[in-house]
Parts: sequence; C-alpha cells; structure tokens
Amino acid sequence: MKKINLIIAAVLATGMVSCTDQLDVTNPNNQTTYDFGNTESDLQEALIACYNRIRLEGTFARVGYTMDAVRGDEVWNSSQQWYINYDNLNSNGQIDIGDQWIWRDNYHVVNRCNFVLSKVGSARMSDNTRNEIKGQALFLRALAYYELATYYQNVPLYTDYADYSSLESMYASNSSQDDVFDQIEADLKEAVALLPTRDKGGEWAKGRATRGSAAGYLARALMFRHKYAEAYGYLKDIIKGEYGTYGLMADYGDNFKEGPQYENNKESLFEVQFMDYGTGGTDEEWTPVNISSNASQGHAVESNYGSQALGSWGDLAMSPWLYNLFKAERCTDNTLDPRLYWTAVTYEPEYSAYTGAITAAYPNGDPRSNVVYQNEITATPLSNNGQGGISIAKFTNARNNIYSTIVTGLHCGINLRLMRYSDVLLRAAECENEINGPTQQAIDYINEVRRRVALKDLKLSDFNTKDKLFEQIANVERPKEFGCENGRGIDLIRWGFFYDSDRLAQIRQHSAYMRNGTASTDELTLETADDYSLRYFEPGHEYFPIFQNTLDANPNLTGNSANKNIDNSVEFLQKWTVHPVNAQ
Amino acid sequence: MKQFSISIALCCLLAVSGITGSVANAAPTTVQAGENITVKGTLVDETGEPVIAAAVALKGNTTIGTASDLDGNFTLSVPGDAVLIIQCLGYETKEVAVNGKANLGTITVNTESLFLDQVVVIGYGTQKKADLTGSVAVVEAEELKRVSHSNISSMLEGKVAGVNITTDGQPGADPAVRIRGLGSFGDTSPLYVIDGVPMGTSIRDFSPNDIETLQVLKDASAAAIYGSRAANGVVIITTKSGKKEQPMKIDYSGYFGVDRIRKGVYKVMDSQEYGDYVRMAFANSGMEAPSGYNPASADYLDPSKYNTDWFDTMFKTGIRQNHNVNISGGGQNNTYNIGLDYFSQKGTLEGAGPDFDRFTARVNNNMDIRFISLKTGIVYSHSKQNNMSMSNANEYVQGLYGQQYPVMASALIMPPTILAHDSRTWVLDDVLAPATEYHYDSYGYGTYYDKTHGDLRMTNPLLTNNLLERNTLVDRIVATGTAKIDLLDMIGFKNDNHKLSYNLNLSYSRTFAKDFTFVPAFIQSTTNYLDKSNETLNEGYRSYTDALIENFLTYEGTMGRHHLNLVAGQTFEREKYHTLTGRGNSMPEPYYLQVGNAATRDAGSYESEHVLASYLGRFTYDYDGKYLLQATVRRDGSSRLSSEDHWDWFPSFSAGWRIDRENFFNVESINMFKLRTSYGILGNENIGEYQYMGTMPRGNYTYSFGGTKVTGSAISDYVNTAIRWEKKKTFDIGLDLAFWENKFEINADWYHAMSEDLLYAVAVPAEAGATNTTVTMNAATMLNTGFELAATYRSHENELKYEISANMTLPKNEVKSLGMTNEPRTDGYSRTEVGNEVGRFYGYVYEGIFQSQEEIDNRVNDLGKPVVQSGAKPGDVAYKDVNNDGKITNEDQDYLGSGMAKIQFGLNLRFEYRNFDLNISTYGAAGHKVLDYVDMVLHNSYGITNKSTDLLNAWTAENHSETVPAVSYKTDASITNDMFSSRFLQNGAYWKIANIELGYNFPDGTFGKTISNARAYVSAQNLASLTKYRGYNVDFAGGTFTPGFNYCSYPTPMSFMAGVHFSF
Repeated sequence: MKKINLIIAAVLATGMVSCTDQLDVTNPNNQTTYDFGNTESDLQEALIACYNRIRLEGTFARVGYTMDAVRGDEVWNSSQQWYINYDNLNSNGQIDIGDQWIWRDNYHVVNRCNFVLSKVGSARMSDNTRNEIKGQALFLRALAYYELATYYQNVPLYTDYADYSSLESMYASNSSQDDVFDQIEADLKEAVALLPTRDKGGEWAKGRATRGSAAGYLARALMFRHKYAEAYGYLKDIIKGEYGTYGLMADYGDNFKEGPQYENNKESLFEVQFMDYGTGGTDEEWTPVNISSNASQGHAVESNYGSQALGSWGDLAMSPWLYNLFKAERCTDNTLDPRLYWTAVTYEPEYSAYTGAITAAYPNGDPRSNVVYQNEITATPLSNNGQGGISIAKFTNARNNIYSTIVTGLHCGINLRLMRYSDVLLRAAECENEINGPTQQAIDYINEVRRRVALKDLKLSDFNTKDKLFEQIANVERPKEFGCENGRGIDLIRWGFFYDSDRLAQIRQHSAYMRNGTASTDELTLETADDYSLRYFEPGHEYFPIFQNTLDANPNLTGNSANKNIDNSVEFLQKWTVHPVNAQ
Repeated sequence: MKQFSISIALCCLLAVSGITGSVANAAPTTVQAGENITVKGTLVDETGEPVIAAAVALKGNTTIGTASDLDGNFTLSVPGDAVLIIQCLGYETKEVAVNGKANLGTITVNTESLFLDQVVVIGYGTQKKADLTGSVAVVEAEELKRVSHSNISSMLEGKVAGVNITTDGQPGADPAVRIRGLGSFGDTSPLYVIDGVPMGTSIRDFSPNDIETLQVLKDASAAAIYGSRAANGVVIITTKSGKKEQPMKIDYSGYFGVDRIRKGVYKVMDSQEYGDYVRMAFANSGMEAPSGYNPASADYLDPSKYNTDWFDTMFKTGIRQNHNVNISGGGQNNTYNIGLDYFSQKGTLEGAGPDFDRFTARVNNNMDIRFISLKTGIVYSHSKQNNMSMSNANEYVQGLYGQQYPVMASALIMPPTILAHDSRTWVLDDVLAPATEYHYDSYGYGTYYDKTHGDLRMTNPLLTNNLLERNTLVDRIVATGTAKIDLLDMIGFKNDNHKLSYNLNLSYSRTFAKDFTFVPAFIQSTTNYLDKSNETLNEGYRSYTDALIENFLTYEGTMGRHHLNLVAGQTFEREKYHTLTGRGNSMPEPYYLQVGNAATRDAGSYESEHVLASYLGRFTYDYDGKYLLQATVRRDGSSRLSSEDHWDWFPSFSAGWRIDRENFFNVESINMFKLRTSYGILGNENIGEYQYMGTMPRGNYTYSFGGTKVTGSAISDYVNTAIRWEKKKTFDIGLDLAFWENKFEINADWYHAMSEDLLYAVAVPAEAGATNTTVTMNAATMLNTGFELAATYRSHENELKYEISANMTLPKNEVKSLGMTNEPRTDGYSRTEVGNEVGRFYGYVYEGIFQSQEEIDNRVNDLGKPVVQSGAKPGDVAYKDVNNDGKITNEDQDYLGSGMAKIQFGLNLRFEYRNFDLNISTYGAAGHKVLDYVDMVLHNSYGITNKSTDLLNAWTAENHSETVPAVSYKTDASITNDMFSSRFLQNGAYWKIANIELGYNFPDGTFGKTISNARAYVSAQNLASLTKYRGYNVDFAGGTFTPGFNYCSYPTPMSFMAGVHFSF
C-alpha cells in the first residue's frame, strides 16, 4: 500500500513537471534560420550581408547610382531608351527598372539591417563589438532609407524585424517623408555615437562605415530639410577631424581610380567597395535573388557611362552645359580644369601637350593625355552612343587605362565614392552661407576645393548677396566637383529647383542636348537643342513613382506625388524658399 | 432510472414470454444421473435491480432452461461442468460457468448498450448517450463492418451525417476524410483515437475487425478535450475486449470476394473506328494520315490484326479475402481478447500493382486487483503495398520522360492499333538509332514508330506497370497500458456516490516502413524512353516512434439530484521520425537490385521530432438528467511553433435540456426531447515540422573591404517565425428526439464553423526585402455551415424485424479571406475567390458549335456588338464573350459551376426475417458538377490518342452535329475547341448502392455442439449507381482547391463476396 502511494506520488510529480523546455526542439538536419543570429560571429556575417545588398543593381551597382544623376541636369540619356522616362521624368509607374528595382533592392538592405538590429542586443559579445555592429547596421539602414526617401518620397518605414511577422505590419503603409527623415537622422546620430573613426585602421579605413561616414550622411540628411545650423555643426566637426582624419587628395583624379593607393583614400567618407570581374567571383548578381558565394564584385556604372564605341551600352552622357561650365574657367596657368579630364571623355588637343609636363594642378607632372582605353584619340570621335553624347569618365576605366575595351556587366571594380571630403567643404560653405552668408568663411571652404585643381580663389567682394554665393555653389562649384555623380537630383529637390518656374527653366536649359550622332560640345539653348531632359516633366515627378504592381500587391500602400501627379511645390514653399535665379 | 429498467424488464417479460414459457414448461427431463446438480442464482442489473423473466438455459442444449422470477431468482438442474446462457431482451447475453457450484450467487447482467443508455466514449471518460451535449455520432460497429474494406475510415462512407469520405479504388490507399466540410487548406484528416491513444491521422495499419465501438466527435464541445488536434474532428475507436466469467470463445469470420472494374463506362473506339477517326482528323487538318492508317500502304495496320482492347488488356479480376480469428474470455478478475487478422487484396490491374496485404494481431488484457484496474493492449501489424507505376496523383516518377498519364488513363486512351505484346520489340536497334545503347528495348511490349502511327508520345502502360516496381512494407507495433486507481477505495472510503480515480495511460508506437522503387531503362520511341543513366533504384527506411504519457484524475459524484463529473489531467507526447535512403543510378544487367551495384550512388537521411504537451480539464454537470452542462478546456503546447507561440488555450462550453423530463411535458409517445448547444475553439496542429524556421545557408553573401573578399550570411527567404495553430470556432445547436421507447430516433444539428488563421501562401511585398515571393502565414478564413439530420426507425416486435436509418447533410462553404489582398487563386480548372466556396470551376462558357461561316461572322455579344473568335471555323466551339469586349480571349473565363455537393445523404436498411437478414447501404450527393479528366481527354478535338466513339459523329461539312465539334489532327488557333469550358462539365448527382448483404444465421446446434453462432452471407459492393455521370468513382470529391475534379482516380471495383462467421 505504501509503495503504491509512493509510486503514484512519483508519477504525479513527474507529470506535473513543466514540459515547456521539451517543446524547444531543434532541427537536427540543417542549421536553421531560427538558430541564426544569436552569436557574435553570426552577426558579423549578417552584417556582411547588409553590405552585400548595397552593391545590388538597384542600390549602387547600377541604376540605384545612376538614376539620380540622370534625373538631374548634368546627365542625359544618350541611348534614348532604358533611362528615358527617368531623364524626362515621366515614368507612368509601370517601368520596373526605376519604379521597382531601386525600391526592392534598398528594402533588401533595410531587411538585412533590421535583422542585425533585432539580434544585436541579446547576443553575447563585448560592448565594443556590439556598438560597432549596431552602428554599421544603423548607418546602412539610414543609407537605404536616404535613397528610398529621395527617390520615392513617402516610403513605408520598417524598423523592427518583427514587423515582417504579421500581415498588418508586413504590408506596411506609407510613412511621410518627414517621418522617414526623422528615422534617418536618429539612426545616424546613434551611429555617430557608436562607430569608430577611420583612424582605427584595418577595415575601418578600407570600406566599413565609420563615424565619419555617419556624420557626413547625417549632414546630408539634415540639409535635405534645411536644418543648416545642425548640419553645419557636424560638418565643422568633420573638418576639425573629430570624426577621423580627412583631407583632399592632391590629385582630384585619385577619387575615380582603382587600386589600394586610390581607393578608401583620406578624402573618402564612405564608398561602396567593388572588385574587378573575376577577382571575387564570376556569378553576376543582377537580381537580389541570385545570391552566390561566387558572386562577381563589380558594378555596371561603367557600362552605362562609357562609350558604346568601346563596348559599353552608352546609355548616359554628360550634358553640353556641364562641359562648357568646365571650359568657362581655366586654372591659374590657363590650363583646363583637371576635373573636366576626370569627368568626361573628350578629345582636347591641349591634353597631349600636358602629358608629363609641370602644370599648376600637377606640379609633379600632369597625367592628362588623349589616351582612352589604351587608344590614342585625335578628335572628339567618341560619341557616347549612336545618338551622340559626351562619354562620362567617372568610375570608368577610360582614364585608368587598365583595359582596352569595356565588357558590359557587373565588371567594373572601381569603388564608388558616395561621399568625399570636398562635399563636406562645399556643404559647410553652403551652410555658412545660408546661416551667415555671404561670409569669408564660406568662401574659404570653397577655395580649399578650388585650390586643389589650381583655380584662383574666389573673393567675397564678388558675392555681395547670399543668393549670389548660393548660385556659385549650386551651379558652378558643385557641378564641377561632383559632375555626373549620384547626388545632383537630390540637390535639385532640396533646393526646390523643381518648384520654381525660373529654376525649372534653368535646369531645363542645362539639360539641353543634341541627338546628332556626335559628342557635340556646342553650347545649346532650348531653341538650338534637339531636345532637353525634363521636357515632359509633370509636377510631382521629381520623385519616381512607386511601381504599380507593388502598389497593387499591398492594399495599405498608396502612391507618391509621381503616382498621383501632386505638385510638391505648395508644401515646399510653405516651409522653405528657393533662391532666385538672377541673383544680384 | 429504476423505473426505466423495470419497464425494460417488463417489456422483456412480454417479448420473450413465448420462449421462456416453453422453456419453463419443458421442465427438467433427461439428465445424466449422478452428474447433475441443482444450481441457483439471482440476476441483477448494474444498478442492483432484479432482472425479471430472463431466459436461463444450458449452453449447447437450450431445451434445458428456466426463467428468472420477479426477484430475479432462478433454479435449474444442470451438469456440474455446464455453462449457462442468460438471455433477456434489453440485456447483453451472458454465459456463466457452473464449475460445480450449487449457488452462483448474484449474477450481474449488463444492460444492452443500445439506445439511450448506451455509453459513449468521449475522450478521457465516458458519458451516457442521453446526457451528451455535444454532437457525437455513434456508429454501430457491426453495421460498419458489413462493408469490406481494408481501411476503417472508408467504411464510414454514407453512415454518418456530416462525414464525407473520398475513396480511391487503390488497395491500401488512405481515403480523404472530411468531417463537416473543408476546414483547412492543408490536411483535413480527423484525429483517430484508439483505446484512448491518439493514433494520428491515418489508421490504415489497423484491422476493422477489432472494433468494438466507434464514435465521431463532430463539434467543438465534443472534441475540445483533444484541443489543438481536433479541428478536423475526432474518431474514437474502442477495440474488443473479453468478458468476465466467460469461458474461452473462438470466433472465426472471413470472406472471399472478387473485384471487377466496370467496363463500358467510357466508350472508346476500336481499331476500325479509330482508323476512320484518324483519317478524318488528318484530312480536316489538310494532312495525309500516317501510313499505318492508309489501306494502300504496306504499313497499314489492318483492324483485323491490330485491334487491342486495352481495357481487357490492362484490367483483370481482383481478389480480396479476409480471415479473422478472435479468441476471448475472462475469469473473475480478468478478461482477454486476441484478434488475428489477415486481409489481402490483389488489385484489378495487370502488372506490378496495385495490391495490398496486411496481417494484424491484437492482444487486449484487462485485470482488476481490488481498487486497481489495469488494461494492456499490444497490436502488431505488417503490411505490404504494391503501387502501380503511375497512380491517380499527378506524380512525377524520376526519369520517366514523355507525356505520361496515370496507368488507368493510359489504359483508356491508348490507341487500339498498338499491340499489347509484340515479340519484335525486344530489340529495336534497326528501328530506333538510340536503341543500340539499350540491352532490352521494349521488353516485348507493343510500341509504335512515328511513320506508321503518327506522333503519339505515349508509353505502353503494360510496359510501365510491369517494369516499374514500387512497394512499401510496413511493420508497426503499438503497446498501450492503462491503470485506473479508485483512490477512495484505496484509502478505505469506498462510496457509491463519490468516486475519485487516478488514471495513467502509457503508449508507445513504433512504425517501420521500407520503401522500394525501381525504374529500369527502356526505349519505346525517341520521345518515350528512360535513359540508362536515369535508371533509378531507390531504397529507404522510415522509422516513426510515438510515445505518450497521460495522467488524469476523474471525480464522479452524486449529491441528490446533482451529478458531477470532473476530469483534470496532463498529457505529453513525443513523436520522432527518421529516414535513411539510398539511390542508385544505372544498374548493370542482369539486374541484381542492390544500391551498391549501381554505377552512381547517393544517400540521404533526415530526422524530425514533434512534442506536444497539454493540460486538460472538463466539468460535466447535470441536474436530475434534465439540465446538462459541460465545459472543457485544453491548453496545448506544441514544438511545431516557435517558443513565443508554443502555448494556446482551446476552450468549449455546451449545455443540454431534457425537455421530456420536465413535469409539464407529458407527451407519452416522446421519450426523449433534448435540446443542446455548444460553442468552442479547436485547433489544427497539422502544420508540419520546423515550419517556423528555414534552412540556413551560410557564406553566400559576399562583399569586399579594401580589395579583400569577405563572406557573410543572411536569412534571404523570409520565414514566418510567428506561424500559429489554425483555429476553428464552432457553434452547434442540436435536437435529439426519440419516440415510442426509442423505436424512432431523430438527431438534428446545425453548425457554424469559422476556420480562422488558416495557413496560406501569402505574397511577400517587395518592401519586405526578402527573396521569396510567398510565405506561409495564418492568413485565410473559411466558414463552413451546415445542417445535419439523422433518423432511425426500428421495428423489432414482429417476425419481420427491420431498421431504417437515414442521414442527410446540407453543407455550405465560403472563403472569407485569402492572404492580404484576397487575390483569387486558380488551381487547374478551378478558381477560389473570397465570398464564395473553395474552387469553383472556372473556364470558357460553351455556346454551341458554329454551323456556318455566316454564324461566325455575324455573332454578337450581350451588348449587341460583333464578336471575333480568332481562328474559328465552321464546326468549332463558340465561346461566350463574357467581358463583352468583342473578342474571345482568356479574359472571357467565368465561373462554370460548383464542384461541392449541396446535399449529401445516406440511406441504410436492415431486415431480419427468421434466420435471414438483409442489409442495404446506399449513399449519394447532389447539386454539384464534376469534371472527369479521362472523359475530357477522350472528348478532345485534336491529337491521336484514342477517343470516345462520340467523336465519330463529329461536325463535318456534311454532318452538322450540334453536340460534337469538328475534329482535326492539330489546330493553329489560339482559342481551340479544347479550352476548358462548360462542355466538359457533367452533373455530379448520384445515388450509389454501396453494399447489399444477404445473410443466414444458422440455429445453434446445426453443426453440433462445438460450433455456434454460425452465419453465412453473400454480398455485393459498389453494385450500381443512379447517376448520369460518365466516369469512375462517382463519389470522388476532388482535391482541396479543385473540388469535383477527378484526375484519374483509380476505379473502385464492383465486389462480390461470400463470407462465414462461427464460434467455437
């Protein structure tokens, strides 16, 4: 009897033991997604995946980079196809390359970063490492949202990996552009606090997001909403070296060349890392789904910028306006602005004379020549495309002369410098001018950039108004320093150039081009040009429409100003003003 | 209660007075001197009330007997080793061994578990049928077993309102069971519980002969005690046990039967007709017919020499047999039951399969030791199933190229000009260049070459079904042990009004399956071959184990008129699965089929684990059997969900009111009038293992820092870690009526079951940033409502006894939501859209046949605008311009009808006259359309597979058919006659005579002393159906998203059987 009682008691006791632990079965067949991300090494890998997503075609490996350039007035669509609706700014929302790819691929970055951020708090690691991982993920997420908000205006905001787990939050609704920028600013401020500077060396000086990267992009984000004072604070701190040691490279061209001595140089705040085709792998990762351990590490910007005659697609060409802007002001020794050489592929007889000579810009010997892709050119034969256009040199091997032809594809290994110290200086000038301008301080920032290419100093006395100095920054200094790079479209939006009829006329004027099958460099007016970008611009289309299928698939999502043809000028002008064109 | 049993006993007195009277009058006559003793005893029922006028007789010689008196006493002079048989209507027959004792004391005779006092097993307890508040269907086990089938669930077809079974005729195949409609897009199989142990969703390994009782729990209140596994309903089975104080009894039952597939369901062409057809079709395409159909050609396939009847060639007479030996008995404190069963079904198709053999042995033991009752059960089952090469499912057989139809369809669409066997085809080197690389080419089966037969691309089904070998061997052992301890008795406070017991259930099941597949290389033509390198031998083992422990306490109390029953407990179950497979490609010849002999080899393994932990509780209360209440709750934790979602609650409530027990109710003829209602939430945990996690690829994300490549990893495919149980919220209201002492019973139920959080492939929006386009989420809702009615009328008073039972269900299904956007989905010929039932037929609307070019040119749509049907010629099918845009495009598809029956019914009849009995069971459905794939292929307008003879009447310039469109070898039109349209749909209504059985019960003594209870019967199964449907398996319900679509389901044969039963 007693024994039985004991047995019963024992059985009852066992029965009542909590079974919850037993329910946590593991899948013994493979490592599972459920088990991933709980250790430091997992999260370091997951972070690499975040970086991987920024070199997709829709992020920076091609259209995500070039679309913003073609949206502006420095670049036109010389092939008159593929990019045409983003040159004309009249996509109807049914074109996947611009309306979908950039959206899709940047949201891949957001997803991967959200994963890291959801796990980084609980995994075991040193606080130092935790801060570094978290800071990088925050930066990359902010970078993606910066692209999304400047391409698509009011995009959905996912900030928690758990958002993907329920129908309601996975099918997110739009956030306002302000909300997205609030998030970007918050993330970047946190990243500034968490990340080390490039001075830490190693990979921190070779492509990882650093405190300087975060501070630079934070200044950009703040300036998008005209928060000049706050932005200026960060910019001044960068200049002071508080976020790492930065400075201009002696040779402007070093920013567009491949090789360890040029890439990740002291001028670079953040750049997307690429390698030549074959060095990292051979599988071209055109869409975000064909992920491969043998993926090629190149970008296809060269395939768009380079001349068709040399094997490229020849899609994008520099506007004659920008060419003539370069020609308008010569160096102190009356040579051409070296930035023309590094921005465009044109035949300039003077180049042959410069080769090896001592020039103001190149006291150690001028590298300029008329050799392009290892071929000597003797005229301006390099029409970018059958339709014409001036080939763009930046981020191509035209001036590197590593190859003799372009092989299209994700092949080019030149790192895309997303933000350079010269941008810090010119933005500091802009902020100083907006807050106090015109001032000598603003002029000093600009002159630092000009001296590198041996242009003579600007004088404050030539700029009696804030508007006038702004005009110099917006339509002279920045186009020449950053010509054909990603960023001009965003500048035009933040300055309100789409919202003022005079400004719109001005950028239309800039974008005039000839479709005559030559790399025509003639100065054009709307009357003398064959055509001009923005001819079909409808208000609201300074942003790209959200892809119609994307909208159809998510009932919570509504279109942006481009989908709905909403004129954003009303809202813009309520908050801010546009500097007048003909400033006195 | 007391009153009731007396009334039964009185009824008994009247009913059996004839027999007992004669027995009493017979008086002790010839007894062997010296061996007889006079025994006396008292008969009482379970409540201790005397059993009056029961017949007490000597077993083996019923002329010696007497009847019990008003106090239940009897006296009888019998031999000392005699066995007494005690019989009384309303009570179970009981046998008592005298064993030389003069005073047998008090003998308890159990009330017959028929009618209202029937005890129903409801999971973790029992309940009187009269006290049920949930919807429980009790199926007469003996009635059920009249239908021969290897699978218990198939036998339920037509027997229970609201239970729909789709059986495929393949031996050994598991049927699709749906209780109260389609409650999930996934698995809809109910949970089977055998002797208290959940056995999962299949019971193919168990013998129907072992069943003692079977009930189907249909609504939430009945099934809620099984919580997360009960959404699809629960089938509770109790197996046989022996009876106490019963000498060993051996029962044999067995049958032998033949199976035939009905011929002529489809009328296919013979060679003469087919030749005419081919010539017509090619001529209409402006082409010359292949040389085999040109009488002037040397290759001419003369119909007198080439005329294969593929039906006769492929189908054969099947054989089924079942032998069951049951040994049972019991002593004072123990009972035993041993069941040995052999079932064999040799299929109806020539070649490797399908057929099925199963052997089962079950041993049940019950032991009572003072306050402890112990039960043990062990079942061993061994089965072998041979599959046909291609079955009804649209399956992919590794390496088999060309257009392959399931064997059953091939048998019907193979042209008659192809020989079944042709000795010339062993070596085809001179005919087919690639054949030189094969050892044997077509193995002596008839084949064809393009120039004589045309481009046919079919493989001889005789070849595939003979060459391909696919079989599965299953060995399974289930051991269960149950202990029930009467706690009050144990501590010495035994009390009839209060009973507290502790129960322990233990069970372990181990299943071991061996799979074998071999597909040898062959070549029939340049399009139909299996390359040597793709020749595949697959061998694998699967092991399943399932361990269960359950602890629960039950309290049963009576306090005056209050009755209380409480159950509280905890269960834990762990299932493990492991598989190991080996694959070999390219086997050397002659074949020795071991993987090691293959030129290339490959192996794999996989394992998984499933844990389910639960707490359960049930409160049952009634006041005077008048007001009935029940509340059940189960809390389940499942390893199939992530740790955040392991646990959930599944509650239910129900109430019943016995109006007939109210004082104000005095309708004499109605002895039961009960209203009941219930509401509860059930779960569906059949979501597969590891759904909340995905396989994690490592190192496939690359990037570089400073020109050095680095690798990373990420979750690319978004996996829904928050996957949860599907839930079913069921409301049920029911009415139970019984008239004239239960001669007539009616049960009616109306239910409203909302299935929520159904697993559904949801589109992943681009902004979610994942690489997969869909993810499984709890993102669909479906409503099933229905009305069920079951009625039984019994007449047992006269010499002609009969029982008629009928049931009817009016089910309705509506999809309430599908994913986020409610985008309709199309599956084959069916489309599912929110606001309507799952999978209505969706296609073009047939508007007859164009009789002339003018008709084509002048046709207008509903708006009166001209309609262009590009490529249409006179004789072609006209389709409706549904969207009125003036042209026929794929935008002109519309809903063509429902594939779900609007009414399902069953009608079962039983007659007994003297020693004969006759049982007829029928069932049917109506109000739906069906699409039969084979019928559709036989009516296609193009190609040269064999056709229905209907097509000989196809439209031609001379013969302006209104029903059969023009035929041709091929067409260039984008809108063809063969677009899926309403012309292929058939009316699905049927009434099927499922079984007719005529039996004869031999009076005891016919075969001497040793054999009793002898019975012989003949039966016919699947004899006929009243239907217009052209196709096999009128009752085939189709797939989840494709109801009413019959894709080559294997024909259920007509079976003719003869069987016997007798006891030793």
